[in-house]
Amino acid sequence: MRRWFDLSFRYKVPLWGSALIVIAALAVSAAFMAQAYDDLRRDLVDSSASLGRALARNVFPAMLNDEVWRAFEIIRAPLSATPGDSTVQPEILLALDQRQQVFVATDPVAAPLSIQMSEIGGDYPALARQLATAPETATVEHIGEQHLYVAVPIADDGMRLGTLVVVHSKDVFLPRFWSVAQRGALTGLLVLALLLPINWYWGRRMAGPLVDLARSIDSVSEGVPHTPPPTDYPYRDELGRLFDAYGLMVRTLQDKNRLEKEMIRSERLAAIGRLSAGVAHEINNPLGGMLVALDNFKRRGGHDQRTLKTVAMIERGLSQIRDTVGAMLVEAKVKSRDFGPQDLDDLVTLLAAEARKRKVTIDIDSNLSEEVPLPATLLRQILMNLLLNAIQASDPSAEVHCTVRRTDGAVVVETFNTGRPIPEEVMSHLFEPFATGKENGSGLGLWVTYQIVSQLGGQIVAERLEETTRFRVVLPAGESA
Amino acid sequence: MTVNTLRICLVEDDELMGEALSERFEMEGLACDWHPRGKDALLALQRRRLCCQATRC
Repeated sequence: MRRWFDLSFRYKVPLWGSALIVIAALAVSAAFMAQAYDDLRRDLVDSSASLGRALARNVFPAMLNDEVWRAFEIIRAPLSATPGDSTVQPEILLALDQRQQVFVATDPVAAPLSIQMSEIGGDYPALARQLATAPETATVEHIGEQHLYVAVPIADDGMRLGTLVVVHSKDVFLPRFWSVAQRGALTGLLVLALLLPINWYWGRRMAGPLVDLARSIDSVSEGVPHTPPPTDYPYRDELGRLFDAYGLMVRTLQDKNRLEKEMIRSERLAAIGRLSAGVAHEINNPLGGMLVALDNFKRRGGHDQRTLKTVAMIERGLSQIRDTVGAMLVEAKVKSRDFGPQDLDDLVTLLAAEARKRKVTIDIDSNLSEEVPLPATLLRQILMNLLLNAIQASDPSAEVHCTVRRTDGAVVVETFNTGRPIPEEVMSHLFEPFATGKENGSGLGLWVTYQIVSQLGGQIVAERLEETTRFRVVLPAGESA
Repeated sequence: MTVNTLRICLVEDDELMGEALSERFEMEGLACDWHPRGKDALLALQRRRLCCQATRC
């Protein structure tokens, strides 16, 4: 039983609806049929009673004068009516005297003259008992197994001579009932045929969004928070509110996920920053010592060419290490003048050679009219790194676009370039050291940029916008101190 | 070692750097006292009057 209640709404709603419709149709049909049966019987009894009363009036004088043959003629009259009007045509008619003995019958074989009615057998004893207890002038009806009996008193002016019994066969009555019942059943089926599909459609329509919603919620609980709301449900009922709530939940989850990822990423970058700063510092000291020692060695002189060559090689290698380590050690606390509009002109000049080499034009769009309270060295380095990357990633003969905007309390720098987009796997480690996508890069440019930006309390975001790659840097910059 | 001679007090915690610098000062003809720890250097300074201090952190 429980299995039925565990069914999906997709089936449960239509099934319950169908069951209710079928029950309703059956109940209405049954009531209709009972009514029809009752009406038919009533009609039959009424017409029999009126026939009986008419005959009783006619048969009264015949009985009074004891004219059996005439009485027989009279009661036989209805049986010789034209066939076809079978409903009202009785099977047998009996005229009984006061002692319930047969005075005359239309079928003398079944009911011989002068026999006591209760002796005929069949339903007659029961009818006889009923007649005996009935009031003098009442019309008595009795429904037997095969027949329907209507008894009318044969009386005139308060004088009762006997009883006229009209006997109908149920066989003539049932076909009539069945035809009515058939019509009723057909109507019922028609109603079912119309209502069931409507109910099914309505049920599916009701349950459909609910089922989709449940499926989406399942997938969310399985850890796929990017599931969009399943279908667009435009109505403002409870289901609509459920959809709204679901949408809200998904958006919140997505936000939470994004924030978590963002946090993990910045935590990771911060950890890498601390590690690399520590390592760089530890390397820098002995490195300086080695460089000084090498210089001392060269100064002492008196070395042959081969020794000098080896020393030069070691010195080159150490210098390279010093440069790399120096690049990793981002020192944001350096004293520097404020960044001004002329720094942008300097940048264009500095980048001109690289741009020419790759046939790229640089377009800088700035609304700086005066100096901003940010260290010029650092902001120049940020811009330099971003623009160099943009030039190198750009399609040849394309344009690298850069906007610098002074807003309330912040400076927003954006660079745009077309060309090969940053691959997804690089994107997730973009600001980590040595995560280069270039063949000949140091892998430190964006790392250094990120370090500078975070030390200045700002944010840097890389995005792919269709054909364009955009880097956006927001640096907080209050009023000039 | 006379009071008039110029001496450099070098405070440097990195051994390699301290040794290389001491060697260099020697080559340049400058007398040098190298202290790896600041406390020792301060004590030494209290004992002698020095005209020049070179420190590096």
